[in-house]
Amino acid sequence: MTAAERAPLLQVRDLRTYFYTRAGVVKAVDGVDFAVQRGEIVGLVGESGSGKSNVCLSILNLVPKPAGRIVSGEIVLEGTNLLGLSERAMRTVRGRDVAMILQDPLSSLNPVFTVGDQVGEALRVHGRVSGDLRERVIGALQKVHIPGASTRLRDYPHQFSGGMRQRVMAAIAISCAPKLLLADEPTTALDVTIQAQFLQLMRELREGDLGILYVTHDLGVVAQLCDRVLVMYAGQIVESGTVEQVFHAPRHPYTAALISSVPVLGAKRRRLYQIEGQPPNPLAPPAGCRFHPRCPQADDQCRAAMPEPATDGNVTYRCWHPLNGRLSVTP
Amino acid sequence: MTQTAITPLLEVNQLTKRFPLRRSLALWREPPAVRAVEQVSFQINEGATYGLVGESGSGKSTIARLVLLLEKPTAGEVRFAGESIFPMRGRPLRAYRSRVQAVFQDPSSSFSPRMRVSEILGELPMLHQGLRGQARRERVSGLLELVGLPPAYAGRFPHEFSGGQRQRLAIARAISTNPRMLVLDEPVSALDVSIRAQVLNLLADLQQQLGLSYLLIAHDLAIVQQVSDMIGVLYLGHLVEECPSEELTAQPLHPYTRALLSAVPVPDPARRAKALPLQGEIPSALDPPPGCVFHTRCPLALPRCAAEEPPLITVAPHHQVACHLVPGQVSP
Ligand SMILES: Nc1ncnc2c1ncn2[C@@H]1O[C@H](COP(=O)(O)OP(=O)(O)OP(=O)(O)O)[C@@H](O)[C@H]1O
Ligand SMILES: Nc1ncnc2c1ncn2[C@@H]1O[C@H](COP(=O)(O)OP(=O)(O)OP(=O)(O)O)[C@@H](O)[C@H]1O
Ligand code: SF4
Ligand SMILES: [Mg+2]
Ligand SMILES: [Mg+2]
Repeated sequence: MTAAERAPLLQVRDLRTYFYTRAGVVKAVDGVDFAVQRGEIVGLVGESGSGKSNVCLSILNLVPKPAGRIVSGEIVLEGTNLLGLSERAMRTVRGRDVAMILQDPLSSLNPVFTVGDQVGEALRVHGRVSGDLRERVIGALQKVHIPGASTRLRDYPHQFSGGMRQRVMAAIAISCAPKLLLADEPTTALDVTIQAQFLQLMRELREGDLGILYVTHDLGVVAQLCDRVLVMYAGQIVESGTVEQVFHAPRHPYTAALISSVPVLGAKRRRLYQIEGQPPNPLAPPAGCRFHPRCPQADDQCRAAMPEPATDGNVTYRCWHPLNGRLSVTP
Repeated sequence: MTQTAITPLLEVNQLTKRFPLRRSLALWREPPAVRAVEQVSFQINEGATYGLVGESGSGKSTIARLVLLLEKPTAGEVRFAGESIFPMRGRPLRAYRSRVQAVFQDPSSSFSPRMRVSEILGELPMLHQGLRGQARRERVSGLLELVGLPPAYAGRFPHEFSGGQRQRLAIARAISTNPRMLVLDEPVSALDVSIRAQVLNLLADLQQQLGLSYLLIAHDLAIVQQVSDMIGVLYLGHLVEECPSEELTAQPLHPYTRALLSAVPVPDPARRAKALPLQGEIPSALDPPPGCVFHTRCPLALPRCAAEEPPLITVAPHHQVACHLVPGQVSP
């Protein structure tokens, strides 16, 4: 094994993506570090506005301009810092190495072309057509389990259900055999039974070397699908580790509170644990630890200084008073 | 059973709603229609919560809209405290509207942006109870306090609130008429995960304090189970199973209920789903399958299922199922 093969597929270091708005600076991503290995599914979980989508957009260098800007950091894909690439080189990376699936496939599919045309176009652009294009398109649609692929390729996107459209998006995304797949809330709009089918598809796709960064606000999806998880709060990763560790022995009070506040099927409680207060104002996040106004253990140190990431075994957390490794918040 | 002695607060009997398509090509034939709700019956007791679950398009919101008189039924009736609601006119109708209020998924769209909180919350008490001046101001403060908002917010506009606070405001407005029942259609789906528990706990507290009954609609099974006493499972407009909330996970009987339960992602990596997900998609409500509506996706379907519609049968006290295999091959 060479050093490059042992290094992670994707290594993000100290990423900062800010928006310069009239009302002030929004630090959408503020000092984020993580890695994705080959064949690994990493969950990125957090509430609305915590910065999840902007992590993905930063990796693709698609942060909305001119307000949004990557102000610092490194995004290293197989040894290459993507932030140092020209826009032209970046376009190749986007088509060939990194693919993305979004929550709303209708916005990314062209309504006036058939699904077959669009999958065929994706295959052609990436020069992966040997032999009959039609056969290749059918093969791509079959790989994502679209029933009746040979007839459905003549249909238009609006003739597909939400779940089937997401599969078409997956077919297009993997048509270039990418190394990294960014999935930004792909099942948020889907029914649970259709979501379960899509999660199964994700598991099949990563059997190979594909690394997947899976964005969601659903802790259940993370627990069911992912190998590791990154918990985001107000632009920062407050805890990361294997799903077993983070779910069974969270170190950060926010992670613990979030897990405790979710109702679990078959485990009815008189009252749910509730996190007090509101998510922070992105224009004026709290000083010190960003979670301190809502944290039951906050003290003067938490209010004064931002905790730096600390690593203990395979878990990394940002907290002055980490929990001792048990789900210890009690309702 | 002692239970049967209690008159339910809300009785839904054989409720059916079809939406006919405008253009009918052949006048002599029955025009095609979306079969949104098909002969659904259930009851809600005083002070209890009835949860309706089902996937998108299963008819949950249509039932809510029928109960709220926002839609006319094709057939069937709804009784509230013994009175049939669809024929109501005049004073009984006004009384019903103040007794049954609603909270929807997106509260921002239901507030007029130019009305202050004091007007939003004072409007219905003024109309229904004739509250004015100081009495009205006190009522507004009281409502804000009940839903956990500072009374000082009375002068604010809805857009100055966060999503969770706006939902509290919607709940305050709903209880401003002293209702006996709230219809809650996806009340927390638009909220952040950390805010959902706050709103669900608030709803539980208000139910205790005010003795409210709830008709709760949500696609999140865990939330519905957390809150409900009884649960009804809808598939393509049909009620396929009904049971007490604890039995939903302990003893689900209908193959669809089981499939739905196993598709819910449990937030515990030690409890990963082992069963393969349900295949296929929900058929069109314009042309629902004959026989059992679920037979096209059912892993256990028999030839009989495609031909004969299974009746809803009672298998245990308060537990009803519509499946040819129950009781029978489906082991509990
Ligand atoms: N174009 C923009 N201009 C100004 N601020 C923006 C812009 N896009 C995003 N932001 C801000 O950046 C922060 C992070 O947004 P982002 O979309 O990454 O969050 P998210 O975690 O993906 O949220 P969601 O779960 O709602 O998708 C938010 O506070 C958001 O308001
Ligand atoms: N006004 C209408 N005209 C025609 N069809 C309608 C109308 N309202 C609802 N429907 C149809 O009735 C069926 C039931 O819809 P309904 O909104 O009740 O489902 P739901 O269970 O609330 O779904 P969701 O979870 O997506 O909110 C669907 O097929 C829907 O398309
Ligand atoms: S640093 Fe302090 S405020 Fe922040 S999570 Fe840890 S204990 Fe709570
Ligand atoms: Mg997002
Ligand atoms: Mg609905």
